[in-house]
This record gives sequence, C-alpha cells and structure tokens, in this order.
Amino acid sequence: MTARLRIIGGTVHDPANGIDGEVRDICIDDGHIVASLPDGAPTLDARGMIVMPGGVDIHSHLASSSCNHARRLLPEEHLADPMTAPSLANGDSLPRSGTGGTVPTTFTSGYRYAGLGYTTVFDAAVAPVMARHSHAELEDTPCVDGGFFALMGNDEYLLRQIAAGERERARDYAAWLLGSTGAYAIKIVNPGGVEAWKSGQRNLSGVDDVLTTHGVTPRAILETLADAANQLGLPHPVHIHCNNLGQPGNVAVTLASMQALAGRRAHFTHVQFHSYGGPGWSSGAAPIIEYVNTHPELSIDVGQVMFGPATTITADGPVEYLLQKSSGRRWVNIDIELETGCGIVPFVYKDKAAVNALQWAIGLELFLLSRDPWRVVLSTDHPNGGSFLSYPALIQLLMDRSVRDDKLKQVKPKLLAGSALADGLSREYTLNEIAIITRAGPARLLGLRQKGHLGPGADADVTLYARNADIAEMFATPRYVIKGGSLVVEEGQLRRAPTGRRLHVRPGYDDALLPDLKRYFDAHSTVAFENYPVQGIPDAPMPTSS
Amino acid sequence: MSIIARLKEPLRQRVDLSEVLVGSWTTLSASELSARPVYLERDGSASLGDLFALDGRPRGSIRFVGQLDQADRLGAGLSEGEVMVDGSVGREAGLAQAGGRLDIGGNAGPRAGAALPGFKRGMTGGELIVRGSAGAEAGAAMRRGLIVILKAAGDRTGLGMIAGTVVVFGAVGADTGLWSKRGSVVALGKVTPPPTYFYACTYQPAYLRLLLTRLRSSYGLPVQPRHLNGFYRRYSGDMAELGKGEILAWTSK
Amino acid sequence: MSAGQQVAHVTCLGCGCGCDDVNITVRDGRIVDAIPACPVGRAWFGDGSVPWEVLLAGKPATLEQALAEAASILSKPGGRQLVYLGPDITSQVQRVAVALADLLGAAVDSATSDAAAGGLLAAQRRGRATATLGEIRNRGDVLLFWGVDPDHRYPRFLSRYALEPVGTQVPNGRAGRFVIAVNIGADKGPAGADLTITLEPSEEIAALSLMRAAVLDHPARDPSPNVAAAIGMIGRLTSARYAVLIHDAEPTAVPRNSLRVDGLIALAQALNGPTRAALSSLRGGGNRAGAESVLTWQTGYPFAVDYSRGSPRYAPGDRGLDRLIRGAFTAALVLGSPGLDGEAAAALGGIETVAIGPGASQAPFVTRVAIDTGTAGIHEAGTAYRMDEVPLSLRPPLTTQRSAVQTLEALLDAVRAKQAGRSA
Repeated sequence: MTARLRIIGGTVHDPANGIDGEVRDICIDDGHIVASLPDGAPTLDARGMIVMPGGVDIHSHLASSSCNHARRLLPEEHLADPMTAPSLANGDSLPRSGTGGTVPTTFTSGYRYAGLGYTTVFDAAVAPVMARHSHAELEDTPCVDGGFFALMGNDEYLLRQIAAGERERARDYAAWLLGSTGAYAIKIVNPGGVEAWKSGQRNLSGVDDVLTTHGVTPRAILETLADAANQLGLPHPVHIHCNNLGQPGNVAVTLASMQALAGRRAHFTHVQFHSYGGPGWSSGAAPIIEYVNTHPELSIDVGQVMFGPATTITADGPVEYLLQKSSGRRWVNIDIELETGCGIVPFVYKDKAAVNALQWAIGLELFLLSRDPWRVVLSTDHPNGGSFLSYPALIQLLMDRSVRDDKLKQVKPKLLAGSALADGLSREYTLNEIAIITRAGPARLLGLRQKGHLGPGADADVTLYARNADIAEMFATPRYVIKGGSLVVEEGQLRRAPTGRRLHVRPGYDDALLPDLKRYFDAHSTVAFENYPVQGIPDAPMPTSS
Repeated sequence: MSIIARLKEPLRQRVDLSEVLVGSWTTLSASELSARPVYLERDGSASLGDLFALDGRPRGSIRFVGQLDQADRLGAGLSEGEVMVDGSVGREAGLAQAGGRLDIGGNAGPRAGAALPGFKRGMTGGELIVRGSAGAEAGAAMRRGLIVILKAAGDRTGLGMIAGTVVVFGAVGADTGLWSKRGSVVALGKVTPPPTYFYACTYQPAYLRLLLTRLRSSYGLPVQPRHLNGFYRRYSGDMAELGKGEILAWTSK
Repeated sequence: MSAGQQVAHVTCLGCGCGCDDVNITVRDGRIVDAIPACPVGRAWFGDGSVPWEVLLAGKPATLEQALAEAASILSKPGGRQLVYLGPDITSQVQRVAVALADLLGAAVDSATSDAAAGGLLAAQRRGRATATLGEIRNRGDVLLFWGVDPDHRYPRFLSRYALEPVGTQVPNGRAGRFVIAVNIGADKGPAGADLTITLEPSEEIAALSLMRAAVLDHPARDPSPNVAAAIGMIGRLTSARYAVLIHDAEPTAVPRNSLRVDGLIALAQALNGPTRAALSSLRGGGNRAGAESVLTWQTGYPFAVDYSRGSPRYAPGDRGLDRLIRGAFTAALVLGSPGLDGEAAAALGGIETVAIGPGASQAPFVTRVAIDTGTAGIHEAGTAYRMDEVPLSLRPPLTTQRSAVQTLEALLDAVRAKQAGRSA
C-alpha cells in the first residue's frame, strides 16, 4: 500500500476534468486523488508516459454461476492457457495460480484485468437466486472493484405485477431484489423472451408481441423497469439487452425498444448484436447510431466482435438454442428458478465467415459513426464477442485507420455492401476519446462519481502507459497500475493484488410489498423467503437519489 | 542411427510421458530430449534421461526400448516424426495426437488416440499403429487421422468419433462406433454394430483397398488378399447423432 | 423441562435436495426435533452432538500445537500432498482448502463420486440441458424417472420439487403431471407411475440411443420389445410442455453402465427441438456441488485437480484417492467428516494425515493431527450448494466450538509463515 504518491511528469488524459494530454502531476493520498501533497512525498517518475484513470468495464461476464458453467465447459482452453501464481510483494495477498482461455478462473481474471489497466468491472448478468455465488466469485477476483446487474426482465413475480398493472409494486420489488442480492443495477435480457422460451412459446421478437402465459409485452417490461430504475434514483439506469439478439432484421426491434422508452434514461448493451438489417444479413448500424446520437437520454456499449475464440454466455436461452442448432457446438441450457435462463455455446469468430465479418464491421461502424463518446462506450461483451484481452487490439482498430483498412481487406466482403465501413470511414479515435470510451464514459454512465477521472476526491485508480507507436501493445502492457492507491502493477509486473470493493445498492421500498411477496415465495419458491437475501455483503451500498 | 531410448531400470510406478514428444522434437539431440520432463507418480518430476538412456542422432525418429506398461500418455499431442515402441504401453498413448506416426509393437492400454476425459477432441491427425491389442475407447472423440489395431480392440472403440478412421484386424468390443458423428470404423474381424447403425449395402470400397494396400507396404501389416478383394457390409450411423459415420464390416461374401 | 428454542428455516444437507424449511427445536444444546425433515434429514441432524477434541498423534493437544504440527507436515520439502474435500463443509471452507492446495502444490480430490464425475465429464463434452429445482416444480408436466425412485435417498424430492407441488404452469399439481418410471435391472423407478417401462441393463444404452434417434427423426433398426416400448414413450415426452428427465448421479449398489448419463444428457438436449426439456441429476448430501463450483471458479475444472506442476491441471482419469491407494502421496489433509474407509483409509494411515472437520478425532484411519470442528449447517454458517447448484445460506441451529473455516485459515497462515521463513 502506498499511502502517498506523486506521479510526476506524465501526460495526463482526464477527459472528465477537461484535461487532454497535459503534462501535470497526479497526487495520491490514502487511496484517493488529492490536489497536492507536501514536499518530500514519494514520487513516481512518469515522464514519457500517458496517464489515465483506471479502466472501467461496464459490461463483462466474469463472476457468475453462468460463467462458472462456461468455465466447466472449457477444459481444452484451460489446459492450453495455464497461469502460475504471480510473484507478489512480500506480505501481500496469497498469490494464486489459475487457468485462462476465454473464461479465466477468478484470480486470473482479476490479475489480467489489472494487467490491462482496468480497475473496475461489472458482471452484467446475474440471476438473483445465484447472487450469493457471484459475491463469492467477486471475493476471489482481486485487483478490481466490482459488482453485478440483477436479471429481472423475465422474473415471474415482476411479470405478475406488470400484468396486474401494479407498476409501483413492481418498482418496490425491483428495489427489494437489488438490496436482497447486493446488485448494482437492473438488467433486462430479452424482455419476456426467456419466459417464452421456458414456457413453450419459444421466443418473442417484437416489442408488442404478447407473452401468452402472462399477457405482458416487452414494451411493458421495458417501461416498467426503466421507470423503476429512474424513480429509485439508481446510479445506473436500466441496462437492456433487447429481444431477438443475433437475428437478421433485429434492427427493427432494437429501434422500437429505444422508441418505446420515449425519453426515459436507459442503457442499451452490446448493440452490435442488435443492429442487423434483414430479412437477409446486412448492416443496420446507421439507423441505430443515428437514433442514439440524437437521443441524449440513451447510452450504449458496442459489444464488438473480435476474430478468434469466444464463449457466448447469456441469460438469453432461446438465442443459444438457435446458435447451437446452426453451429453444432456444445450447448448448455439452464432454466433458473422462475427468474431467468442461461445459455452457453463456445464459438469462434472467423474473418472468412461472412456473417462474422459483418458483425465485426457493424461494431466498428457504431464506434466510428458515434458523435458522443460519453454515451457510446467500449465493450466486447466479454467473452461473447471476444475476451477482454482483445480490448487493446480493438483500441488500435479505432485509433489507426491503416490497421483497420488492412484488416478490412482480409475479411470476407460478401455481406459488407451497404456498411459504412466498406465505404470508407476515415475517423481515428484520439487518446482522449479512448479515455472516454474506456473509463470516463462508463464511469459516468454507471454513476460512479469517484471513478473514471483524476480530480481530487476520486479513487486513486490510475493507469500509466509507456508511449509506444504500436497502440495495441501500449494498451496491452501498462507500466504502472494503481488501484485505490496501491501499486498493483510495477514496471509491467503484477506486484499486489488487493481485494476490490463491492459496488452495490440498497434502495428503499414500501414495506407493504413484503406480505404479498412472502405469499408468493411460500407458494412457488424453493428457497425460503427468509433465506433468500444475501447476508454480509462487504462495503456500504452506493447512495441512491430517491 | 536415429535416437534410441532404452529404459534404464524397470518401472516400479506409473509415469506420465505426456510432455516428452509435444511440439517440435525431431531436431533435438539425445541430450536435449533427455532433459524433457516426465512425472513419476510417487517420486514426482524427473527428466526423460533419468529413466531412459538416450543415444543416436536426430533423424526424425525415436525408438523406445523396455517394458513400458506403466508408461502413460506416450506420444500425447505428437505432431511430427516417427515414434516406435518395442513393447506395450500404458494408457492414453497418442492422446490427442495431431500428426506424425506412433507405432506400438505390443499392446496399448485404454483410450489410445482418444481425447482426455471431458475433452472434445481426441486424435486430430497422424497415424497410430498398435500391433497388439488396444484397451477400451481407442479413438474416442477422434477428429481426424488413422488408428490401426492389429489384434483385438476393446469396448467403445471410436466412441463419439467426430471423423477419422479406425481399422481393427481382430475382434472389436461392444458399442463400437457408438455416438459417432462421422468417421469410419473398419472391422476386419468380428463386430456387432450398435442398433443405431443400420445396414446400407455390401460393396467394395475403393478407398479402403488403397488404404489397406498402403498399410501393407508402409508398415508391413498382414493385410490379406481377402481383405483387399473382399466385400464389406456398410452400416450407417450413429443415428442418435449426425448419422454420417460408418462401420465397414468385412464379410466373406 | 424447558420447551426448547426454535430455529426456523434451517437448511438440511442430508441429501442434495437442500430443503431450507426445517424447523429445529434445540433443548440443552441438543437437537430434539426437526420438522418437517424426512428420515434422511433426521439422521443428518441427529442430536447435533459432535466431539470437540484436538489430537496430536492420538493424544490431546492444544490447537496451537496441532496447527504447528499440521503446517510442518504439509509443508515438508519434497512432499506430495493430497487435499481431500469431504462432503459436509461449507464453500467458505472449500475456498480456503483449495487456496492451501495451490500454495502447497497439492492434488485435490473431493466427495464427487466416480458416478457423478462421469456426468461432469459427459457434460463437458456435450454441454447439457438442465434446470433448477424451482423450474421443475413449476413447469414439469411430464416426469421421466430413469432407474431411480427418489423416495429412498432423496425423500422430499417428490413432495417439494417434482411430483406433488402445484406449479405456476402446473396448476393441478400431481394430477397435472404424467409420470413415467423406467426400471433398469435393480434400478427401479417410482411406484405409482402413470407408465412403467422395464429394460434389461444390456438394453439400456440401445434404448437411450434409439430414443434420441427417434426424437431427431432419424431412421433406426428394429428394436427389442422392451426398447420398442421405451421408444414408444417418446410421443409422451415430445408432447410435454416441459419434460423433466430425472436420474441418480450417485452410485448405487449395482454398478450401472457408465454411458447412462451421457445418453440421458444427449436425449434431454435433443428433446429441446420438439419441446422443452431438462435433465435433473440427483446428488447426495453435504455440499458436493459446492466443491465442484469452488474448484471450477478457482481452477477451471470441477474435480480431480492437481497443482503439483505449478498451476491447476485436470486429471479426471487419475483421481486423487486412486493415486493415494497406489502410494502417490506423502501427506494428506482430509477436510470434513472423515468418511473414507477401506483401502483409502489404510493408505491414509500409512502416511502423515491431518484431519480437520466434524468427528476428525474419531476418524476411521490413523491421523497425525486431528482437529474437530462443527458441521456445515448444523454448527457452522456459510454457503452450501443444492444438487442443482443453487447456493443456499446455512442457518446453524447450534453454535460451533471450533469453526472449520477459522481453523483452516489459521493453518493456511501457519503454512505461509513456514514457507516465508524458509525462503527468507
């Protein structure tokens, strides 16, 4: 632990504070950024280095029961990527070995995220009944502050409230569920579609399709939970994975979902997977990004596809059913406790596969046509579009047109007609824009006021990169990473692995909910109402503004 | 003289040889190969040279001499060169072999040329010859390549094959070819196809004649005129899976 | 005589059902009643009395002495250690145990039976289609019991999860569910099924294969009459709204065909074309699924992990207990109830063994160090995983005199200190 540290002479990119490549000192005291330090404080020479806030991953899958089912499915990847325990500083936490691949073990995930300069990560999809499991995995994921989003878009109790027009009770339930599970935000995956899959209707593909078991539409689910998140004053608005992921023509339901929210604040996730024209395959990126550009209440993460191995892990059961049908690969489906689902199919994106090339191009189109980097942020939906380890290569594609154009020549062009990328997009992201889409933007969208910037009071999460003409290498190998004031990476080596902070919320709700909820649990749940809430969640909940 | 590895003393415990011939090895000298790791069940890590005396020059092949029944995973992941073994080997010989030739003079234990349990792919290339008998599940989950077994093969030979070819001169055990997706099991001896294979036709597969002729000339295998000129009953399966595999059973008429 | 203290919503780990609705009555520090526990549950709780001894070479010692000796045994240079995870420990204990194994470079084995391990391996190769017990309770309208009657070893499975409850999609409870029993040799399905099929053990794999072929609409040869009857029930399964296949993942007295679970996984997956289906695997008591879960997130593999080469290696064909019997280890750490007997117990007695867990002092093998602790869910709080891998919170009705997790953490610290001292 470094109580005090002055990082001197680095070129600072701190877009939240309007600093774009200025040489200035950053001072750290007791885990936070401070305006100044007394003379004689220890220093870190950052001359020639680029200084940014620690990375913030708004959408990853790294610490959930679903990830663990995926890990179990991938012995080949683990065998090919063994990881011995790092040499941590004397007296630090117990260094742990592990295995990697697209779904690394928890310790390896923590070490590798830190090794990439990331200090905050969210798991985007946790079944509420499995929350206890995610907390345990997060405890074993060092170096990063973390939390998770609770899956609600197919929850039986919630669907019943929506069907009954009880939207306030739905909101109270959402609040109870967040607090009981120690979640950070409300997640919707394929609203109503997962329940359709489980109840025999197979799927829902439009916002006004009716879930026959409940008489509820995706539109009503989206409205109810967007309102709940906003009325509860959650730091992050509702986080939405739309209906019909991965299907040609899904641009229609994606746009309809955005329109359905009619001015409500919301975050749409891995939008690349939801931007396909149809009925054949084509790019639908342009209308989507145009809608986002002109609607400041909306934000997205891209969900870029990177060529190479991936593992698709989602609560969207029907999507994985279709993917295993078309790919013939191993398939896991787990229906979870009147709450949600889980589907897993390992996958490889190939540049010679026309659909994969289109997916790759659509993601880049979304990035390159975005007019507001604060609302269009980086993700690969790790490990769905590719591992988080591919972020540096993605950053290079965004910053260097020549690298992008070279890659474009290698991909199968069959489906790229009509994509703006094939027509030539000259934009190159600046370092400042990269700092926005990988730290400042996600932190702001997540409502993390102490993260994503280097102003006084911020958490001392700082990444220092040695300048390098090879952008991918530069971002892959930070020289120093500081997490909460602790020097996690020194001279490119992982040296400390502090336990991260748990990020969660506990919004208030009307107690009148509880008798009805208990009756529901007694009738249908296999876990007692009294045993359902997770006890002993570390760290205080984040404030909500309601 | 190519490299010869002579067992110094009889093995008194199981030894894992899975890392001896992985990656590039054919250009390594005897002393370099001697340094490759092996794992003794009771005594822990050792090097190949602790167990074997290695002589000769790198010429793309290695010959193992000695009683190796307790030596497991010999030739695992093999991707190049020729490996000859004078006697019998333990289990999982040629595990997930990717290329090259592994020629075992005696018997092989279970899961020769197979995948590690729980792994999706066994052998993905190369040729594995067992001049004696093979244990259960030879070629399980194999994806490509050729396995030839001169005497009997155990139960579940070719279990869950994805593709590739297994030729068995002797009798094969129960559930041969069970749950294969594609691939061929050629049974020159006795075989009972699983009920999810069904009889398609009796014919003389041209490719098989070529294959057997090559096996006779390259390996000196005892391919008989009746094998070359005979007829084969083709069973298609496994219908519980893709159904694109086959069992070719030699028939006297 | 006092009325006793009531502890409600206690989770029972008597079998893998993990019923968390048990009301325990405690009087004078003893469990005197457990309602509505079944016979398996009542046997699990007993009266809750366990020994609280600390033994060094069979003689009473202080905890400090015992831990110092345990640390020195386990960290002997050149030693090869086995860490064995017994069934009745919390996941908190499992996590520390795996950390210790990592530190020592030890092999890890667990109470995952070979039968259950076969299911894990098959699921690695194929994936699987399954569901948590709440989904089965609320949706399952056709239930196929493949060679198992849960009444015997999982007594409340039928009343809580699979047969009798009124479900959100099965409003008529038992009357709304069609039950198929498949008897395979000695492995019988439940009595009172709506349809019973009988197979010879030799017909089992053929039946599973042909049933799957029928679901896939692939052609097949003429089956035996028994197998034809099995194929005949496919229509029942495909016309289900949500079919559930139930089998026993734990070993039974008569060894079964090791391909059974593989065939069931494949059948359940295929049924998800024409309808929805899930395979439910019945698991034994304690926290078996928890060990698999912890091992998976810390090593990538669910069982049979070996740290001896510096990072986790998967050795499913070389289980730790088999290697123990062959003399592969110099020391062992056995956690949880020391229920190992036969050749394994003899082998443990022949090396330096440390036992930490409920009843360690009464282990059926010779220990160098034995430290009694409480039992998960009876004396110790924490997490245990149900057979369907849902994590449950444990609400112990009794207090522990020596916590397993704290004891193990102290041992981990002692080993770290020893290693640090050695390298300094």
